[in-house]
Amino acid sequence: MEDPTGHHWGYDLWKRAGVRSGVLYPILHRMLDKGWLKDGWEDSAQLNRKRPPRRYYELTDEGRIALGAILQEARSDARFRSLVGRFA
Amino acid sequence: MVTELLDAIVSWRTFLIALVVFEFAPGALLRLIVLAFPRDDPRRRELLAELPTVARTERPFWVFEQLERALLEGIGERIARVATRRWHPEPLIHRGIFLKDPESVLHYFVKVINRSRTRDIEITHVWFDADPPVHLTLPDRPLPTRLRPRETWEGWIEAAALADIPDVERSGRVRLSSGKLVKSRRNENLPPTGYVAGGGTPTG
Repeated sequence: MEDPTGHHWGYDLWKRAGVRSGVLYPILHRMLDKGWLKDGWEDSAQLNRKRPPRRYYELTDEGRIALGAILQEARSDARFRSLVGRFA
Repeated sequence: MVTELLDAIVSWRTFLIALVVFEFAPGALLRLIVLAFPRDDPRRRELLAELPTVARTERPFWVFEQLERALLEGIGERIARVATRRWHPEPLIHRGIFLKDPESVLHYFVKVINRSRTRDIEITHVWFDADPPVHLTLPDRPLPTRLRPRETWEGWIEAAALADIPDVERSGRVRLSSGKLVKSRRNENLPPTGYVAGGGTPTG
C-alpha cells in the first residue's frame, strides 16, 4: 500500500516483505483470483537493458479498498500495530 | 548410516558442488526448475525474467527458494489439474428472474466460468440437450466468444422454452472451439440476488 497505483514485481515484493517465495507467491495468486490484483508484462520496447520483460502485479480498485479495510482493521488491533507500520 | 549421510551433507565436496550449481549456474538450474510448472504457466516466464534483476549475492538463496516453490506449487498444480480437471469450464445453471423488470418471468441462467489461470477458452455453442436441442441465441451475448482466465460468460432463456426438459440443470451443453463438449450442473449456494455476468469478447 506504499505505492497503491504502481507496478510491483515478485522479487521486489520478496525483498520488501521479507517472506519466503513459497509464502509470497501463493498470496499473490489468491489475490489475483479474488480480483484484488491484476498482472501484466513489461513492455519490452521500453526496456533499456538486455533482459526479458518481467511480470508485474498491480492493485485493482477492489484490491485497494479491500486492503485498505484490512490495514485499517489491523491498525486498531494492538497485536498488529507495529507490523502495519512497515507496510502502510 | 545417519552419521555418514550427515557427513556427506555437510562435507566440503557437497558444499562446493552446491556453491557451483547455485552461484555459477543459477540460470541453467532455474531453467530446469521452472519445468515443474505446467507448460502454459506464466510462472515459468516470470521466474526466468526476474533472475537478471536478483542481486548476484542473493541468487543462490533465491534460486533455491524457487526450487522449493516449483516442487510444491508446480507439481501440486499438475496433480490438482489431473484430480479436479480444473482447466475445463463447468457450466452452472440456476433459475431466477430479472429484478429490474417487474414483469419478468422465470428464466434459466447459464453461467460458464473459465477456471483456468492461464488459458483463454472460446465458447462456440450453448444449448440444452433436448429433441430438438434448444440453443441460446442472445443478441446481448453473441457467440462465439472468448473468455480470458477466470472470466465468466452468462446467458439466459425463458423457463417456458424448456418446459419439456425433465432435468434442465443437467441438460445444458457448452461446446468450445477446441471441440470439447462440457455438460452442466446445478448452480448451488447462490445468493438470493446478484448481477448477470458478462459476455466475454465476441469473436464471430
